[in-house]
Amino acid sequence: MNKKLIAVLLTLTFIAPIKALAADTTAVPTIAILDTAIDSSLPEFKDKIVQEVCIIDWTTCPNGLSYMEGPGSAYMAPDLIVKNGFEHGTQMASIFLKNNPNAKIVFLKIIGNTPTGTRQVALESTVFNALNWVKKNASKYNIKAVSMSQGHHNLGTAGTDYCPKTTITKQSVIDLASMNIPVFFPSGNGRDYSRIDWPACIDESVSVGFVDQQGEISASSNNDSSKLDFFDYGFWQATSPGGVVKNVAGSSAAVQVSAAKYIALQQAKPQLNMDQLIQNLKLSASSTVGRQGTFKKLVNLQEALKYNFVSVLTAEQINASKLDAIAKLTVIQNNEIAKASADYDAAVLAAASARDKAVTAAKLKYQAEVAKLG
Amino acid sequence: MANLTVLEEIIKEIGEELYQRWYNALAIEDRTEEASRAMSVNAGETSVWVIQTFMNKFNAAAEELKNQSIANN
Repeated sequence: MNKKLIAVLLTLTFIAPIKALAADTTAVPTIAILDTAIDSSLPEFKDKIVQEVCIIDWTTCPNGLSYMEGPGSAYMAPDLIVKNGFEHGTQMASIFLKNNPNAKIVFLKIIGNTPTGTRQVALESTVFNALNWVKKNASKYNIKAVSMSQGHHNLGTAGTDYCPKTTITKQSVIDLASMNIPVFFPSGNGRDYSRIDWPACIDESVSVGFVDQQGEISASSNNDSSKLDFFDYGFWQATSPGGVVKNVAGSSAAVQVSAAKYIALQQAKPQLNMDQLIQNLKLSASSTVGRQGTFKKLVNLQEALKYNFVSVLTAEQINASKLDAIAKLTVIQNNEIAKASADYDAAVLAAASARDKAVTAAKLKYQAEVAKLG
Repeated sequence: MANLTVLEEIIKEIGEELYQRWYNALAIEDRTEEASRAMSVNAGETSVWVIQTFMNKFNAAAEELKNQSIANN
């Protein structure tokens, strides 16, 4: 009996860490998609959804709270998920996988729904909370990029610093960038050629507008030539809840395409950091034409993969690396001096000790001789 | 009597409460039929005005919030 118990305990001891390791350190890159909801029962999502999360400002997650994590967290009933735009999340995940079947998805439901399926308001706080979740869980799920195909156009006047001042979200985007995780947002589809949606207008994010099947900029795509980072293909046949295939168009889709290509490039060039990968995509982009002119911003993955990216250091970076080298040399030098000093001290101590011993021995010998004579 | 909406019910309750408070605050010798009628009309109008102002402000704030809500792109 005891032997059996010990055997079970030993087995558990060996199995448990292996399971934990498998869940935590998957080598497959993952994208965090922030959207409405997902029909994770679709065959094309089998083994592709690493985790489901619900983060909303309302207590309408499937568990009746404002936060939920685990299978079913981004679930909506089949009759509700097809209404009021809630199929959007499933479509976005589908478009992402069409463009990078080698990656996996962490899906975050950030849009709440009432019991009858009405969409609930989602403000900056929701986006901020979701990005923070990604920050905390990025290494656990090997998250390499974030995409959110959502936004609003409640902006300041064109020609001014029109992007709403949302400091906490901006900071989250900066924090994720410092972790080498770019955040992709859509430009919006409102035919505004001087302003892009929030949060795409946050400079530290990666903003994406959309082109049609011919690779020409869609007239619907918002564009601010000074802020917009990329254009990508925005017309797709996407799988919707229940497996129904639908035509979708917009910067939402383009965001997923660009994010999928970014991860593919990251997989191919793991030695490059996020800034270098984005730079690689920009330098190898194709030209695309639209009502607002021609822009060399259409992401071209084939060219990006071929492009021999050479990191050119700025004067500041060279100076920083010099200072770094000097600091490292100083540490080595100080260590050597400390070691030599310690050796010298030890030698002096040893010599003094030997001298003291010799003196003591001589004294004893002398005293013995004196005693003999006496 | 026709069924009242929730809002009408609230307005009616507030109006009655207001009237009662005003009436109780009057000196006994001032509690006349005429004063009572005037206060009843005033209390009703005041409660309607208060609720309407509140609803207008509330709706404006809700509308502003709705504009800041993210939507599918």
